[in-house]
Amino acid sequence: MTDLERRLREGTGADDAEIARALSVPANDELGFARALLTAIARDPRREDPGPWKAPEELAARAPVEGGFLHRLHVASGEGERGIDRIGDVQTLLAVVRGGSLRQRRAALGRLAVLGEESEHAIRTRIDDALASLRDEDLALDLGRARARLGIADLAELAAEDALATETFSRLEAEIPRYYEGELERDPLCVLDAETRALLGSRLRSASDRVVAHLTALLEASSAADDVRGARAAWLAAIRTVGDPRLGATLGALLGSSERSVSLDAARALGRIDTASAHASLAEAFRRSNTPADRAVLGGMLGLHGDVTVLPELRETMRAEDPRARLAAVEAIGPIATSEDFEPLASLLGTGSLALDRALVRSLGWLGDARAVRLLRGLRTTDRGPALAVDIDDALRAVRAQMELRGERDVPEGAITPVISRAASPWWARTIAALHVAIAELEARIGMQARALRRLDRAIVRARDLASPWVAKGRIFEARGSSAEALVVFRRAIEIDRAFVERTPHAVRAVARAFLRRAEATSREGRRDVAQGLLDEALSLDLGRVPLPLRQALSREREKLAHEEGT
Amino acid sequence: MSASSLRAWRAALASLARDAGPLRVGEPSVTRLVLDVEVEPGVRALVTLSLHDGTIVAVDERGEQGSSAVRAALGWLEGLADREASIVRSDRPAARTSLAPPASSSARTHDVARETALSLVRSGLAGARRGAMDDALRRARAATDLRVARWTARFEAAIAVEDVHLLAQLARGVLQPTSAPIASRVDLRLLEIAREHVDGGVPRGIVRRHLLDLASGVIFVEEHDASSVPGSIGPMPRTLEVGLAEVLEDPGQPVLRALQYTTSPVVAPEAIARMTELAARDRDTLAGRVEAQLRASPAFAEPIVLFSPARWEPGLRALDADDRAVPLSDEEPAACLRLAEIAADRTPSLLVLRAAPRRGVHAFVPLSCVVEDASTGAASIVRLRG
Repeated sequence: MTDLERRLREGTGADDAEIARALSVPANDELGFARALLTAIARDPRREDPGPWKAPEELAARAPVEGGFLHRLHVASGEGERGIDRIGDVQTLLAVVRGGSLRQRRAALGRLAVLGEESEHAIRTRIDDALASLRDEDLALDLGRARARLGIADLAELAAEDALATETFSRLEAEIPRYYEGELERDPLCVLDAETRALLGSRLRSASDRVVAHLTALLEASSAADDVRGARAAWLAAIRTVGDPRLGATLGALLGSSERSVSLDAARALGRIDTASAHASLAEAFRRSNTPADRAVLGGMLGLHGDVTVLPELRETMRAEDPRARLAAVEAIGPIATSEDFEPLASLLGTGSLALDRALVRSLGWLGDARAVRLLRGLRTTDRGPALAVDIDDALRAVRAQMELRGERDVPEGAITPVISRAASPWWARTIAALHVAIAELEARIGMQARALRRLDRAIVRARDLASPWVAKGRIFEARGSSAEALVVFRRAIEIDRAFVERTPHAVRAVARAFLRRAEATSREGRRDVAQGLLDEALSLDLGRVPLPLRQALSREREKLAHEEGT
Repeated sequence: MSASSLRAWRAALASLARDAGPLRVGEPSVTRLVLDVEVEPGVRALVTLSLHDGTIVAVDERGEQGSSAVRAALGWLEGLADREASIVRSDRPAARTSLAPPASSSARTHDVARETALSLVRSGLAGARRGAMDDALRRARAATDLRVARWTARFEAAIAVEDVHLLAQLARGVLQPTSAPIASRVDLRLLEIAREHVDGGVPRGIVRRHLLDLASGVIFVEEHDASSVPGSIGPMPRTLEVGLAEVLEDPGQPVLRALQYTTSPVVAPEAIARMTELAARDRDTLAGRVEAQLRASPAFAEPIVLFSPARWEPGLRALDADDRAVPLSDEEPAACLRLAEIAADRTPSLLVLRAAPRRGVHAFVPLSCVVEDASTGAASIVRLRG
């Protein structure tokens, strides 16, 4: 830094006269001094050769990989990475379609269609039945296309819609220049009815660049004319799920719109565009936004991009007084929620509007925690209307699919009843709970396992931030040979206090053994992808206190499966 | 409407008609009149009067027919007319008019910027970060002049990242005497080569359109407050045939307002060929163009330049023939990422860049690029910046 630059950093000082002399201006001429000083500093920029451009690191804030199968599942295979494009098991793919992220679901659908085309009629029928039962607005067209490729159901309606869309796009292609020439008085995109707009919006990827360019012009137009405003809002809704990257720049610009509904609709559409630039635009809008409800919506869209940096704020907003902000946060948190969020989500059920309950149910479905099954079944028995019932059924399907992928299939609900908390319990509660654990371990050893499990549940309720009752419970299930149940409770123990589990030899040994047994069992059933996920999860733990033979068994089993899969 | 104003207009119009002499071609008819109305000091609006089937339709640039600007224009017209015209309001769509007027060089707002610059020299960057310039910056933020609003936003951003070089450039620019007269231009053929939404003191920033004059190679900027409500801003890219425009002749970056124009979404291959012809092919030429514009208008110029890379290297490195790369700014990661996404499939043959020097070093924000369509082979302009 030069002396002159230091002067600009520090402001006028005692040596001004000296600097003025050096700059050849009178010391008492403030304007002249300022001009001379600034001119001396503001030279032409230097021409430096840059290195490769790098995206900001915060854009790489993807979901953590400590989790189970789905967290490790990539859309495409890479070096040492499991990809959906290599999964050959139909059941696993169906589970991913039900319980995965938007990108995973889309990729799994594509893979299912490929596998289905190569399979016999019975398998195609099974896939088609499973897909027909799904209701997913984001994937509606992908579902239809995948089913069409299977060739089981009569999808003449879909073909007719495709033909109509193609024809309408061609007509628009011709009409748009005529509109600009003044031959048409009204914008051809503004005169379409709602149904046609929805049809075209969902199929925009097949439209020409000219049609898309004109649509972006309409989206950015801020005419006060009612028909333009109405058409713009309607088109923003129509393209919400299409995920066409050609819309990225325009939607990015609309994030700065002075109309809140426009900027939020643009965010919702950008959340579905699977590009790093869409993620960057949303991250920038999130940084600029200062309204909790808007930040929650933007955070949710960042969550769809796998960005977990917004999670702490969404958790905070879920506790907000403002019902609008709370609802937005609950809707947003689903794709990136962790098991830590189960209790806060569950505790909000029934405390607000039906819209809040529906959002909670959907987020519990995303979360996929086994504890949600009982909760959702209970809620299903209440008469809160058909919309909530449909959401509950979808959420239950998603939870069960995720349990299946984590190797938790067929776990009795009783194994996972109490909720967990990381709030510190008082010392006396922890002492009593520890006493219960000690007694329960004795009871289990003398064959009183049912009694021991009941005692451990009491310990869990008393000190919910203690991992040892969960470990003890898992060991009982493991001793019974119920490795699926053991897996569920061991996962709870790891979530509560991973360090305790890893540094306690009997705990980490039991956990490693449960994962290995469950992996062997699922592998025998032909679910090699699920088995690999279980072994990866176990091997991500610090296994330093696990006996060497068990450690080696885990590694060899993983290598064997990788070898068989060719990954 | 004052009687003297009306008398002056009548006399001037009569004189113009006399001087022009008799018309010798066809049967002329005036079908559209655009009036620039100053509703109150500093508040201007364009009002378009169109003649349809003997009825005059009057709308302002927001498409409103009952606004004070429209009422003022109608009052003026009524007073000017020799006989009573039949003036009604109708539901016809608004005539296409341009965006907001070019930023005026109003002395008052520039004084605010000058005072802010002097305040920086007095308190220094350290003082500015401690809040010593808060008053000056608050006044500067309140500026309605878009150029000063943009200047203030850049100035504050430079304070935030402690970019002494940029601060010195911006401050020097408002302290040096400048003149930017407004001139009329006729018959321009423009190509909109980029569009962007930039930070500005106004609540929602500033929307800018960058328009290349295909004849002269000059790149004009047209801008409006993003929270205002213009008619339509049309697709990007597009071609504009401008009959009449006002240009604020800033020596670094001319600001244009098209008054009479037609627009088309069709971009002729010749227009893209012309872009390529005008583009810099080596980094020194590119940097030289930027430096010349910054020297001419250090406070307000944000040079838009065209660069045609000789080849690309991984890491988004656009190289000239001597393998010198054009530095991309980290100011707009979304635009760079969009460029990377496009470059993954196709090779951009030309970049439209905005110079955004950082800490005394050249850097550029990519605004759009030219790529070949995989199926047709035709070159097209793709927008990168939102």
